[in-house]
Amino acid sequence: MRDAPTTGASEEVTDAEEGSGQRGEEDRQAIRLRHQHGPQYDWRIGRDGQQPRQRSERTLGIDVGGTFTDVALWDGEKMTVGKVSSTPQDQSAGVMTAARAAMPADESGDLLHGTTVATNALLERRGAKTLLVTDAGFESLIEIARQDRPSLYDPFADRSRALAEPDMRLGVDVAGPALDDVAESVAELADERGAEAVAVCLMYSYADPALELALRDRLRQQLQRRGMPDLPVSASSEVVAEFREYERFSTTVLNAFLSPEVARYMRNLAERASESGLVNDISVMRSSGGLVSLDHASDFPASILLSGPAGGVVASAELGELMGCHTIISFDMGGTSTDVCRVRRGRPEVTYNREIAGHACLMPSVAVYTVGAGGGSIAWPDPGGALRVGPRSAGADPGPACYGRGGTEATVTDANLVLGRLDPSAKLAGTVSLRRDLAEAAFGRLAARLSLSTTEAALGALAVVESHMTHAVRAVSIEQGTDPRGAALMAFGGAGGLHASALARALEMDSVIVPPHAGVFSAFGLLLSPPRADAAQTINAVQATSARLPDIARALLGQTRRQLEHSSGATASSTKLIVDMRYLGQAHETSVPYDPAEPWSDLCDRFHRLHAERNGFSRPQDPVEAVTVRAEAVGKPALAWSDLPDFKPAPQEAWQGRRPLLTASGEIEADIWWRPALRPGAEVTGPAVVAEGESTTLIAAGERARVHETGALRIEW
Amino acid sequence: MVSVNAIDLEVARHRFAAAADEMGGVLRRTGYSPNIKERADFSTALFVAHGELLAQAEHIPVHLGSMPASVQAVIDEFGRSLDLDAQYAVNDPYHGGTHLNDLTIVQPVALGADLIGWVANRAHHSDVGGEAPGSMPAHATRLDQEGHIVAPTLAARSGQWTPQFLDPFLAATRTPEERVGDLSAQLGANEIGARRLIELAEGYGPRRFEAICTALLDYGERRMRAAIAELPDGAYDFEDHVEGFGRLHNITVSVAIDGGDLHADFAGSAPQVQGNFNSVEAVALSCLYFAVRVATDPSIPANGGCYRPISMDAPRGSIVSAEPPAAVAAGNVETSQRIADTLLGALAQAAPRMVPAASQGTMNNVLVGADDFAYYETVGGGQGARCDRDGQSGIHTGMTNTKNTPIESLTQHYPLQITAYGLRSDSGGAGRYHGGQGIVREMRFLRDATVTLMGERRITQPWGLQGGKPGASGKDLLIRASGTREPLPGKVTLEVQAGDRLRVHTPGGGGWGRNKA
Repeated sequence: MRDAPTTGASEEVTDAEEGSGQRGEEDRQAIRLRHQHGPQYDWRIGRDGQQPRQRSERTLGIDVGGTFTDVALWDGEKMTVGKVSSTPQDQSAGVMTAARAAMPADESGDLLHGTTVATNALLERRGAKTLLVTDAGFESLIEIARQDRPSLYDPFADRSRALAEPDMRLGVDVAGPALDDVAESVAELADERGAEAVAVCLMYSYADPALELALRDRLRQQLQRRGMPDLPVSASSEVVAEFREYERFSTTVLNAFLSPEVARYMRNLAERASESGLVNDISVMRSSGGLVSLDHASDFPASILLSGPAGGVVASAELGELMGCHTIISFDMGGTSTDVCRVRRGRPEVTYNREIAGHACLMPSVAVYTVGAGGGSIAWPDPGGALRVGPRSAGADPGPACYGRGGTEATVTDANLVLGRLDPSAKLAGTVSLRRDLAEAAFGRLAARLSLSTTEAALGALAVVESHMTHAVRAVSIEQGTDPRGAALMAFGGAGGLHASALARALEMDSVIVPPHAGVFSAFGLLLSPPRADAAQTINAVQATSARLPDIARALLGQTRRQLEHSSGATASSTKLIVDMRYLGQAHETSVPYDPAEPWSDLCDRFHRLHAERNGFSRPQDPVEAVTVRAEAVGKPALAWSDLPDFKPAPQEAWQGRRPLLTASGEIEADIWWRPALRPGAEVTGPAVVAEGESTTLIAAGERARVHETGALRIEW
Repeated sequence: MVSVNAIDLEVARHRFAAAADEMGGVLRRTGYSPNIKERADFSTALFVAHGELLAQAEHIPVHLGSMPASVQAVIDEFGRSLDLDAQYAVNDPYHGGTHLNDLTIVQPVALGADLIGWVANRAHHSDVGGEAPGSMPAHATRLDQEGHIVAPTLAARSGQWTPQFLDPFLAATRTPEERVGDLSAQLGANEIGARRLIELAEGYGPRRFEAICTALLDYGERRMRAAIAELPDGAYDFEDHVEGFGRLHNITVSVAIDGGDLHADFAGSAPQVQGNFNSVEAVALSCLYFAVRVATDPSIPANGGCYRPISMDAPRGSIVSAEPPAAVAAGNVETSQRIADTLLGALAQAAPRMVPAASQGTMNNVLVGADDFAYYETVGGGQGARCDRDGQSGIHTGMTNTKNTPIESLTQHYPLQITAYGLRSDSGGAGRYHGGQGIVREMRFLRDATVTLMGERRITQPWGLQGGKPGASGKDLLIRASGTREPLPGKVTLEVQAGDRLRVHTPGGGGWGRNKA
């Protein structure tokens, strides 16, 4: 590990690491938190006397990942960032460790939280025993799903097992006997089978929710009578009032399944937070990139499944606008997976229909595309003599060969070390020394099996993993009708900067941006995220029935405004209406912005234009259908990037010397730069390696990087 | 000599696969009919200049062997006087097609004046004329009764359809507007694929591009040979039956494995029939490729090289390789399932832990239409039990993998109600591991309509393995508005009245292993 800059730990860290002896395990895990009062990441208000516009004096953004919990604290004057170890058994312990370590003594602030608690509960299938109540004759629809199989040729590849087990599906005849009798029989079964949550999913309820909501209300009364008042009940039209029965039912069952686990976590967090005295109010990041109250997140846990990656995407959007890049692909490369997402004009691409762990989920989510490849991905020779990388990963334990923890297989991180891109004298997370000899031995073994040199094998592993990444970037750009040429790649996460320019150049992208705080960018992004409320309603209106559209849209907008106020105490600073439209007879929709004051014909014109833009043609003569209306209301974020003072470099030598890099065209000498000491406007010419605490950026020969006033690096060629 | 190493191979493979996937994305996004957009009944692929498959997006297995056949048919017909600015169309099952609904558009790709490869996509058009809505009349015996036949034809030039292709095609179909929409999508998909192929060739340079294509095909061949070589040498025989209209027709195969080579011989299979359940050779070949991939390593990339070690003899004029002018619609959607079952039955002897017991073995095609609409659906069923677990229920298996149409969507577009859609209890075969359950799907007609049903395994049952019991046969029932119940044969075209209901019970999968004591 380097000296002063990375180890520049403050008293708080010492506090957190040594603790009082009473604080126990969780505090000792605060292995690398840095209170960055030092000059390198110091932002100060540049304008005298001007107050920052956040609600609370201090705001904490805390994002929980698989290995580390990242924290960013904005105190109105400066930013403090750091990492502590995650506590997978109960994430809230790590969250509070991070909060305690970052927050000055006797101070408190609001907590904005990105969590993987819902995702993990789903992946590990640790959710409620869920009773599904639906129309008789359709009990198994949740299992049949869309009837297709996940792999054409592998008969052992199973679809994800439905979250409501076969004996937990009850068909009811709502047209028949009195609703109270139906509700009573449902409650009885819930009791008898030990249900921990109920999902009420009736056909066509998206269009007319009255019956479904009435059944839910009666069911709650019956559950009360049976002494089960706290059993969570999710109704499909309330969770997501959209058509396509399987997708709506799946989202609702997902919501019910996650309810108790997520609610338990949120209660724990709230208790710990309140005991600590460090936290005033808690907001939770939703998949859509907006914040909601803790209570709302507890009621709609299906809406926080992508809470983790959303922060980085939001931050990418804002930094991109600030730097004048209107199309951004965010590229978050971690140890086992990489998330990419398209951002246009400062808005993350949001999708309304996606699969998570094999379950359809209709909640609005940042359109993150994930590939199972990262620094820990293992390179291997296949029987046909091709060099493959992944999907197996060395994970955090044993980790790449160079960690020296018993891993012997060659990984992407090992390749970066073998090739001189990573500093062999650096220490990972302040503790793990990187062993270049072990990385070379691993690649030597792989190379021998492929009749390549060690260097060729290492270069090859990077070329292959970069082709996986290229595929991911194409999936969110070209395949969605956006040309990556002219777009910038926003690279963060531990490994993002090492692969970004190769990737961007392969796709003829415009440039690469490596943001400041690239290693904790998602936590930072939480501070920039607005409170947000969404609502949607399927209406299936054509021209003849379009008169009701403006009223429905206005009602939905009112609903989101009230929800925002109720949930975040915030008033909407902006609202948006979108209508999903298609040509009558098509099955997939295009999202079209809508103003309820405009006539139907204007809306249709905009649809024709957008359809042509995205798909290359439009058919203005054809009848158009408005399928679903969506409303969103957003409030003010805790922090706008423009509130941050200019970046100030650390007063030390930025140039650290030279190191040989192994490349396809032989060994070359690269300049090594210490990023925190690079001043705005400074230019670095490749070949060069720019290092900082949590991440490393490679600038290849023929490329140059310039330091932006925000501290971001912009690489061009 | 241009050298291609292990890294070039893997990177190129991803690039070609991405281009084929991207073509599929264009089709799905821009297609018009629910059949393409909701059900994704299409395939996309890239080919080298001499016609071998370079990469295929994984969509529909029955298109595996028959996509190359379409390209070959275009090469045979137009290869000598190729128009590099043209796109060609074909749906003739006897010239590289499968059944008439599947229209394949083939485009040559050139760098300057040199042909460097081909792109092609195939989409199922829900109506191409013929004697019943949906173009699969159950009673057809000749191909021309099933719809409009497109022999390999110059279909478009500079992105514009030629009248000699478009006019008769639109005149034949009951739904011309939908067809035009789907055709635009097909044209657009090929243009994207061609653009990507040209970019790749330009990036590599022509000589290196060729070397990489050759190396990729050789790589596919090495992978497949290595996988086949892991199976024990020997001859493995199996027989199964197509029901047709109530009389069993045998499909007989002997699969010979010799080192890295695999040969399937269908000698002894029943002669072609007076009916529509004849398979053409290209379909039988697709079934063979499918079965071998299931029994070996499913991750081997689909390209022409990996098919080199696999060969087939199918007697001309037999039910697995019919000759014109026999009707073939059910050959593609139903007999194909049985050919796959037969091959899997043989391969199960060589690879007992790779091959499941028989799955439902049918697509349960339901076509409903009138003068102004055509609704097509296939219904999933039980998967055969595996050596270590039960089969999955209510799922598509074998030669298709189309999605269902959401009920809340189809009832907006068609005069139909779905009154039940669920699993069919006790339909999976018993055993140590149970076969998956079939589906019960019931629809009520809101208007008079013509219905065609095309299903198999209504008499025979999906077989079990290692002592497992067979899955239940399928059955179909018409419940008249008056309440009378009429059992239906597996293949029928009939008129229904408003208020009638059709109930389809799909087969369960076979069981695996004897029951635990």
